[in-house]
Amino acid sequence: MKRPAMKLLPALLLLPVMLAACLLPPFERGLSLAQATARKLKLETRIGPLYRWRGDLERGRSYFLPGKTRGLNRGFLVVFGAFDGRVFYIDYDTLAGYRIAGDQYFQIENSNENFFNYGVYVLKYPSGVDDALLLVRPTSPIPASEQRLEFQYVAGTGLVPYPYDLSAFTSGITSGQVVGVGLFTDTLATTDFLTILVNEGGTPNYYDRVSAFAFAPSPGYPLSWTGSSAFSIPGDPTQGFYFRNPSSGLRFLSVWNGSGYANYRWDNTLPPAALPFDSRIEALLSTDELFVVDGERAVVYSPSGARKYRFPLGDLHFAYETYIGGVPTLLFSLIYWDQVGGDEEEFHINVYSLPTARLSTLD
Amino acid sequence: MVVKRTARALFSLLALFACCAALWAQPSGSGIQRERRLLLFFSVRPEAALVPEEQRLLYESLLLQLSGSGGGFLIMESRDSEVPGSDRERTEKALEEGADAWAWVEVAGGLGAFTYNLSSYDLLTRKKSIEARLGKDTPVRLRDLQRRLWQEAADLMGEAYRLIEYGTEVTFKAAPGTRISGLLPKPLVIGGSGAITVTLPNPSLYSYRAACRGYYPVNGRFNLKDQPLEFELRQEKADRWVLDAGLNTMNFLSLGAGVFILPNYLYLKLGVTPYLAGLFFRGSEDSYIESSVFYSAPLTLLQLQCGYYLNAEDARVRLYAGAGVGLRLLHSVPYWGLDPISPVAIQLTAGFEIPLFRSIRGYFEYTPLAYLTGHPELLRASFPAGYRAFNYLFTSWMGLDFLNYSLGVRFLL
Repeated sequence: MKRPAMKLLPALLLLPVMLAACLLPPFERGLSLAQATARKLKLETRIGPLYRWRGDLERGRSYFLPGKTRGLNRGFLVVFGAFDGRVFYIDYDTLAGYRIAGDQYFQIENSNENFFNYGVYVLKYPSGVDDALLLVRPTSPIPASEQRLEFQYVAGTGLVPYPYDLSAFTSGITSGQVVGVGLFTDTLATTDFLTILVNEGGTPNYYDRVSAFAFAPSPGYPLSWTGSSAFSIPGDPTQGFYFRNPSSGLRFLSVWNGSGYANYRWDNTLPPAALPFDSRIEALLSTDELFVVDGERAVVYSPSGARKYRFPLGDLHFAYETYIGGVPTLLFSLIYWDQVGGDEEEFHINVYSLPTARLSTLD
Repeated sequence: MVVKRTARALFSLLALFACCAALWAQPSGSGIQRERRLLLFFSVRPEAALVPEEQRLLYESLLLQLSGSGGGFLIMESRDSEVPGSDRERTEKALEEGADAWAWVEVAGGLGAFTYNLSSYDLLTRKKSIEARLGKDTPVRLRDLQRRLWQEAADLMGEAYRLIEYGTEVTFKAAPGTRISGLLPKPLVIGGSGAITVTLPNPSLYSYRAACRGYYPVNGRFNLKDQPLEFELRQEKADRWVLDAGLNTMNFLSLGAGVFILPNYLYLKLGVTPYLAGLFFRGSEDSYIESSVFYSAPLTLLQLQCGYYLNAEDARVRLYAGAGVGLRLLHSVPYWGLDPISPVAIQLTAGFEIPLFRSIRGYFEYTPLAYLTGHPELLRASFPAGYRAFNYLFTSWMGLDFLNYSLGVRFLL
């Protein structure tokens, strides 16, 4: 009896050495932080399994935006890499299941400096059956001098790019530079509001434009705009993210200043004033509250810049606010990879929702 | 020469037979009975027609016959070849030799007409117990040496000397409840007085083990002769507290503090394994995976464990087993609280420890950990990119890390 035990002893002693410092507990900070909030949300749909080399998504920031036309279980997977960006369209077929139906590259100029000036918005496509995506990015060449609505992607069975340069629109914006672009969710089922901030020179030099906007194959941009009187903005920013609620007249601008975002607020009567936070405004909500992402957490500010709610996000991504059944609702998405199934390229996406009115429950 | 060889061979056979018989006839050892010790004197009258070789053969056959008789006496050989001249001198000699009786066999005649005198004196009763003339007129043959030659003497001595109640008192002083084993068939138990006295056969070498709940066991040996002995056992109190410092899977520091509910056996322990700073060796060839040496996560595993030692506290290698429940505390700036993906873990433990210094022991534990979860899909994803979770078994409600282990040092206080 003793001999087999003695023979096993070296193997037993060797085992801890072989396994030394190569085992980990199951924990991913981003996922756990995401779940801290996601458990309070409604799981709308679970997408997957999907298969892709993980490096395609993880060499940069990546997130999922559900489409607004074909249902929440289809949408755009957007990747901002170091040197380029990619858009994938996630489609669902009752027979084939989930699949990546389209894959488009877009150039990212000088990503390290301009990374913070890229934005994507999901568009409605009222007359079609496809989903649509709007890409906003700095103009080229570098140094970028203005923001451009440069591409729209339409996805159905594939992914088709429609290149447009907002600064070249012939209607409504005939001079000056586009400084900020943003999208405001409308209650209408068919369109949202595209908001544009333009620097036309002179003193005061800034004007804004608002137009009901949804994707249309032609001409691809709004034909009619509602303008405003001119105003001045401290620092004369050249590019940023612009938000306006057409109803209340509230306006917000988020400008990357090299180390953080300078945020401004003004309305029809008050001049622009700085807001007391330096993270980018992701969305102006239907409640006129500001949804801001500050590192690993989200902060909701009042229009005056007072912090109202704060909750962890981690890998959970705020997609956008939309109306579901007439109720303003926030959508979130979470991408996660199955590490155990033996296939390192398998991933899933969860889409969550929360009525905007219940934001306080996340704090 | 042939006769001598035959005699030697026969003697060897006799010796073997006698030894076997003597072993078979060992008393059961009640603990307070022992055989009488008889000092044997042997002499041959000058007129007896016996050559020295024959005398030696007779003496040794006598010795074997008496030793193998299975009676209540043991035969002791006199160191002197001369037999003391008087009963008084023989008695003194017996006292010197530690015997409590003597027997004298004096052979008269030769092998043709073999007779002998047997006299014996009992020092305990101080009486002459045997005084007889024995033998027969027929010639002694070789086989008689084995069989009947000394049978009468053995019978008489067997009747005269039986097992006696006899022993020496030994007193143990120890903590009440101490069980002393190894001395008598049943362990001695120290009562409330803190002492116990028993009578043990002597002379004998004894070894004992005194064990008591709340104390380390004491092992000892003593040589019991005629003098009563008293032992005050120095029982070292069992350790009450335990501190652990170890490495979990050689990555992370793991600390523990516990208390013995049943001293030295049943323990309750609080453990903490912070994952804030640790080692994680990983090389990477993929552009999106970084090689690493260090690992940090804002996670701490708090555990409550209950375990039991399976063998004696003074064993060279102590084995133990336990089970526990752990809480996973996530402590990051955005969120403080239980890990929302797997807040609770259940751990089983099978380990052993070996003494390094006094009150310091090295330990190795196999500690499979079951991470309970309501979100198995997220638990399966809770690893760094490129990490192959080969050491996990996942079900719909948990992920079992079946290769988890810890090693370190344990301080007993």
